[in-house]
Amino acid sequence: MVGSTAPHPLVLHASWAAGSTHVWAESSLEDFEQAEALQEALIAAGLPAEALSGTTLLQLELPKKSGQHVASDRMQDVTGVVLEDSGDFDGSVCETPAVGVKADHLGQLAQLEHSPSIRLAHDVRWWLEVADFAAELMLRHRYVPTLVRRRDRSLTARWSPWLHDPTVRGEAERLLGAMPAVILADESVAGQSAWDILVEVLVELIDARVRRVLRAEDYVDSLDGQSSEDPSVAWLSGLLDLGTSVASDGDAASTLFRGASEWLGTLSDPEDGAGIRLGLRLVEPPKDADAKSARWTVQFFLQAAGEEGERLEADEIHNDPEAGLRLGMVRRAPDELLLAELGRAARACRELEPALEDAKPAELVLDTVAAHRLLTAGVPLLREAGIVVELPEWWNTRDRGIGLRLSLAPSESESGSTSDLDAGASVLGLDALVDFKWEISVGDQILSFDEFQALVAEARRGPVLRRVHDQWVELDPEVLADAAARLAAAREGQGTILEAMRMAWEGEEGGIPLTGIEASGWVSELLDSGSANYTQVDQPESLQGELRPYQQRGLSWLAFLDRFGLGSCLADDMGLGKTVQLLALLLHERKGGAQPGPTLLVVPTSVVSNWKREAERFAPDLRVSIHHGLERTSGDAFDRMVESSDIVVTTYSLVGRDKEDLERAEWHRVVLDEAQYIKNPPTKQAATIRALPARRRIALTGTPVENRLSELWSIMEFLNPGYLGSSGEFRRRFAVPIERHRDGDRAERLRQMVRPFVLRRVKTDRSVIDDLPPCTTTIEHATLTPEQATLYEQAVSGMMGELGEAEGIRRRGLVLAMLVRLKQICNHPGLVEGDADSSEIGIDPEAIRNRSGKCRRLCEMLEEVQASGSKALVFTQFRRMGHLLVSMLRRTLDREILFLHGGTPTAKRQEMVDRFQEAGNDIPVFVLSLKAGGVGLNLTAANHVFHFDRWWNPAVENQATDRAFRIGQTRAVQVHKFVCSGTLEERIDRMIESKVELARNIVGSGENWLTELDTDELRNLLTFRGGDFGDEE
Amino acid sequence: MTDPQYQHERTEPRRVKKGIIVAEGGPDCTGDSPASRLWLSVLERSGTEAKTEGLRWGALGQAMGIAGLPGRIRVRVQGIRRQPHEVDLLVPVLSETVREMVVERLSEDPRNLVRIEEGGIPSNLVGLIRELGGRLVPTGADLSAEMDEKPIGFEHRVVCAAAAAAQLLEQDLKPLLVAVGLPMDDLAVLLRDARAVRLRGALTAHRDPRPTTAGPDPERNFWRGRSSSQPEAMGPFPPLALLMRLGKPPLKGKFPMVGLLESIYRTVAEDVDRDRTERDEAMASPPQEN
Repeated sequence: MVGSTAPHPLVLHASWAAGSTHVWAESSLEDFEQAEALQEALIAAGLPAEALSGTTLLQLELPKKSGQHVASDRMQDVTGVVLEDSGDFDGSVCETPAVGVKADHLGQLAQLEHSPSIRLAHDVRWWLEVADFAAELMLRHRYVPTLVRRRDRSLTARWSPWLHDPTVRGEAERLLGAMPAVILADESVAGQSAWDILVEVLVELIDARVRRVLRAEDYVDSLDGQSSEDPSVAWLSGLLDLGTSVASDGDAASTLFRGASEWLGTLSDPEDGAGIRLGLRLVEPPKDADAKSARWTVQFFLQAAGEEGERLEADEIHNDPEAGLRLGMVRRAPDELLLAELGRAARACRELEPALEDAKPAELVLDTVAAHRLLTAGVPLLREAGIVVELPEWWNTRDRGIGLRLSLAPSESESGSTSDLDAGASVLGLDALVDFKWEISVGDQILSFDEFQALVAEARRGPVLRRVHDQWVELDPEVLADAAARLAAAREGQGTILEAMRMAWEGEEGGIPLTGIEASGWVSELLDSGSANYTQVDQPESLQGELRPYQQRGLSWLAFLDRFGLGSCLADDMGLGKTVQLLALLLHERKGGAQPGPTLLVVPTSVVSNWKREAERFAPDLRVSIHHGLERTSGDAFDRMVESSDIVVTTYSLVGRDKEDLERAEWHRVVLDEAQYIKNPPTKQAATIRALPARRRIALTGTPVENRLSELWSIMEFLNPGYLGSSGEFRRRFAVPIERHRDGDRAERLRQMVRPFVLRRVKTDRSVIDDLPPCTTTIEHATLTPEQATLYEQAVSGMMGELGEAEGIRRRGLVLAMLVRLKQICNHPGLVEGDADSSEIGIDPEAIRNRSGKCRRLCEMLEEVQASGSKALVFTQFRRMGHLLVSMLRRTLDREILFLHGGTPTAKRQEMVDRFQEAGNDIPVFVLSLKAGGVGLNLTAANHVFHFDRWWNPAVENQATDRAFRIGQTRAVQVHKFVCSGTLEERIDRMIESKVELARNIVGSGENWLTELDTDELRNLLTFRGGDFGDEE
Repeated sequence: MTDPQYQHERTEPRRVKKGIIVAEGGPDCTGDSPASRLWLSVLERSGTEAKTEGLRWGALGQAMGIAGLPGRIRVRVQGIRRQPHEVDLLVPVLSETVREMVVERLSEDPRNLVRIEEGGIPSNLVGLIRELGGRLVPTGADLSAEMDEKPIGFEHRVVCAAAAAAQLLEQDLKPLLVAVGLPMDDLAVLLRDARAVRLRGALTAHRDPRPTTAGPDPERNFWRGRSSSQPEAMGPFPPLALLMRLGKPPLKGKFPMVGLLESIYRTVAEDVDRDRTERDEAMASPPQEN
């Protein structure tokens, strides 16, 4: 085993043992940290000492290999060592030093996240998620007091989660699915089910937290002077105090337990009903009834399981003795069930109680006040209790109350419509003015201000339902007061586009719904830009190639927002041609000889050469300069370069370093490629990039940016500064409600706000899917790092010297060896270092990525693949490269990565294939050696195929591609072939593309043809002609 | 309508269709069975005339049906009136302790639960109750009767009712078990619970749902879980929804438990919310633009 000798961070794990959580740590591939030392390390890393509950020895059953426990994948990441087949259990246990963590402090393990000395394993992250879930349950009152009876009939009182609600249960089951088995590795929990342990953990977390709060608030004082004979007092004494035991014995304890069971049992669905549910239908009064005399009717029915289950109306239930059979009821009479369920419903909603006075209840009549109480307070509880509730349609819409409508129009003082704005003409920008006007609406009707004021006065007496303009509406005093205040402040006025758009999307902040926006002129076009309602532009004549229809729409959209000076984010799926759409825009704005000024294109180092080549291919008329590498210009030379360029390509890392030069230039536009690079808002790099002066801004990214909130804010702040507020404001208003509370309304509002500025098409879009070939191949140009370039040049010059004297078989052998060596260098410098064991390579995953241009590019592309929910195959000829890729990708993607190579046992191969095919996005990448994985496997779960290195034999590469592109594949397949710019890889690839005689020889012959070249031809083919190799990032 | 002058006092009981016919010599139960003990106790308490008349009524099939109710065995006896009488033989309910011990002992053998679920009675139940000091049938002065919910001596209608009850109980003891507080449906639930305690060491007053998802497979998911999906939205839940659905607990005593629980739910939620807000605010501090 070869591994870094530098001290590693501890890898922290947590397992459940003897009713509490214990943390333990791997200190190396073979060893565990001693308990006392771990305790000190935890405290030094910021965990309060009171969170810990002493040291112990766990008896953990861990995976073994040759009698030695196999290090966790996290420890392998930390050390950069890849170990294989770590799933053997031999039944023996490891004595593992551990430290107890008190349940109430479990969430504090998150504080260790940023400690340089401790790395949290997946299992600790699982514990943190469980702690978060427990907190959510307490926040939402989803727990109950309960009693536990033991074999000796003693009673203890506990606070326990209530997991029956479908969404809560769904989350609990998600956690069960996410539970690593190491949680259950201690011998003390052997035989217990994972679910029981999850529930036990939740009980511990909730019980400890509730008791801590109750102690702090002296709740136990409320029992002072109360009789201990009172069963409620006995139970509460166990819930409020330090001790959990309930001071009750014999018959009293049994009666208490039985009473508590009966009480808590009322929360469960009736067991005899076989899924049959009570249904309530609220029917509104006839149209001519006024609010005071109106009579609302609640009709009862029973419904079989499922949303579309058969129904029995109450009349049928009472009058047809055979009716129950229609719902499959055999054991219990339907009228009995109807009555029992009505009793349960009345418990949740008192308005229904009168129905129980009728021996054969079929319906209940309510006045308007009771109907309103049923609608507002009763319905949520009834639905939660599993009762089907049907309401008048208007109640479920936004029109059920008073709403606001906003009218927006271009200010007359501004220039007219977009039709006046030709490409490159004057820009309105975010400061352009619009007129706005607020109106009050009921449904689709507008209320006069007098009518509105009358309703406000009426609502002051309390919430109520009223018929207004022939429509029932809810008068909520708070909402109406908010609307009145808003109208009093400004019923109409003038503001900037930015203010108007924020006004439009934030109209509901005060609680009053925004029922409509009426926009005219260019404001309307702008707000509707997400729905393709924008002026279409033609493909520029100078563009080489033909834009696909969706690309043409993308060009039009970019041009449309560009005219307003508004920043846009093109977030198309990888492979849909963002590059060509941007190049088309640059050509479009130069139509008729216009010279709008240079565009600064900021890209990751790994794609600098890609951009250059794509520009040469699609838009040869554009003058492209590269500001990158050691020989880049500065000062006056830089200014001259900018003046003579249409595009200046630079890298993210240089924006900070060459800030002065870049800020001095007058950029017509700044474009960020792979814009997710600025996803961390506080970084200096992100701030510098946002500060670059430019009249127009565009961001390109292949990730679904709308779902990554910090990334979204950062990109939007670059595109349209201030639109989403400050990062703190954004976090409070959107990130926390959406990420923490899964607030769907807030997420929708944010989507509406950014929709005009983000265009994302995915390969599954109907408008795109018909337009795509089933399999597309692209060549990805990677840049050598300086280290790779040096090694490459040394290798070529050294071997060319040797070749000069060699002949015959020896020469052929030398050429093939040289070829392999150069390909290895193009892949990664680590492949030509030393004689590391082929299965265990000790290189830090971060270093793997940074030392190879291909690795950087692969990581970027696979992050996009993963973000879009797709899966990928990565083929390499070198087994050792496969190990490096696994180690690197496991860290980068934080997912399990499969690796199939010649040494993988046959039985294991099929298991790996099955897992890859079955698993969702949890195994996003399958690395395969070309020889072992290139034939016979069915891997249609992947729709991206990466050829990390080239075999130069299309038949072999196609065979590998066909693992994914075959019967059973339902999506378009994207094939990415990697070549390093300036190397033999690029030159051979070009020869194949240009179909020269030599290339024809190549086809079908693998690489042997190279051995036939004379020394000069070889030198010509192999010599590095780079110059634009990447720098360290 | 019958003219009052033709009315006369009825001396013979009304004819009953499908009554329980008791043998003239008394019900067919002997030995030490609970039915036999019940019959003997009644015989001990009743006079000769009541015995004779009661058995005669029994032979006429005057007893119409028997039911076990908590604390009593109820027999409908027709007699002279138009409406039949409800004759109750009062039976003391087993103490909670004895019942629990019975359940505990029965839970030792899983076949007892199977027997009950198949509609039978555990074969050793009567002996077990006796062994634990419980009595299925009262004797001597402990035995009393009511007729139409009023106390009554051991007269002929009670004898008739007891004879019919003994005859039926000899075949099926379930009404008596209901009377002493061990109905079979309840017993099945209690036995299931007791089995759960036996297997898991404890039983909770509420039931947790069972999962549809499997736990981790140590061979495949040792260091990482099977799935790593993101949490979904929960709810929406109205505040205090569970408490409002629960209502007042069916416990004796006057302490306002629901009111205190409401306060507890709110206080705990506020504490959790405060904690989270502090954490969120720490994270939401404006980014440094240096």
